[in-house]
Amino acid sequence: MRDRAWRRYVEERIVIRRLKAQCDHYWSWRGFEDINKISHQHPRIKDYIGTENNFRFKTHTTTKWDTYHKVKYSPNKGKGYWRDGVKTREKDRKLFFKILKENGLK
Amino acid sequence: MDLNSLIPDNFRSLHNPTWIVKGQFVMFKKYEHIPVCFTEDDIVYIFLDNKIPKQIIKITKHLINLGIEFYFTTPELSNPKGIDDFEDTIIRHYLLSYAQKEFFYGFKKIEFDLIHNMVKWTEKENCFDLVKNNYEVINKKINTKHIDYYNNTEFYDFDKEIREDFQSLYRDIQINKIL
Repeated sequence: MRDRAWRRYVEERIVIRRLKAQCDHYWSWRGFEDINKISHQHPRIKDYIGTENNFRFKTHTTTKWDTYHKVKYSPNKGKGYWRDGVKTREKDRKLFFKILKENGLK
Repeated sequence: MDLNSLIPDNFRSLHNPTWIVKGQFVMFKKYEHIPVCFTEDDIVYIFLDNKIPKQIIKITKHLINLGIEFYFTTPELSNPKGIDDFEDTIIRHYLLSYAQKEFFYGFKKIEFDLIHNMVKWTEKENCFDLVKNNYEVINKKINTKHIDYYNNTEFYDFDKEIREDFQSLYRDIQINKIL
């Protein structure tokens, strides 16, 4: 159920929410310069696509309050609490690389 | 011309379609629907939009295969309010997009000459005189040098290959005009 498509959908939804929050409060007489160097005084969500804001919001996508500013691929880095003992993708990834190293494949 | 025919078959999906026809535009969905192209007098105009460079290159390749006449334009024209000096703006946008690495390497990969297309469009609109001024403005922008005094290094906003290509670009434009 929670496959790659689902994760992409959730990520997209969160990025849209964050961009919407930003463009609701943006106004400048100079305007916001989008990726095509076109200036918008009242930018919409699509004007942010390809800009630094979009990539930053995409990278910092977690839904937990304490990992809100953390990076995407290690949302609970260094935090041993409720995820201890749970089978997670991060742990699987670590184990996978360990096996690769042991067999001299990496 | 039917806009649906501009969407290639392999871009169509039954569930959650990303390419659709909405009003007078063909659109691609990335967060919101972004206009990709429209038709006017049986000529297709593609918005040279850096938000979706891969899709622009894909549709260009598809139109080359179909053999339809097409030109590029600025995404500002998708706004109903329009623009004042559209000829100047479109030429500037052509040149600026040519310098964007997504389009520079993307069009090179599909062996499409953007500059030749621009010259054809200027001949159609009788505005070739505007090219030189715009070229000088964009060339200055592309060769802007930044100096990091702390590390005593120089850096540029654009790749070396693009900057070198831009040095001889006006000559290419003139050759395209003659041919």
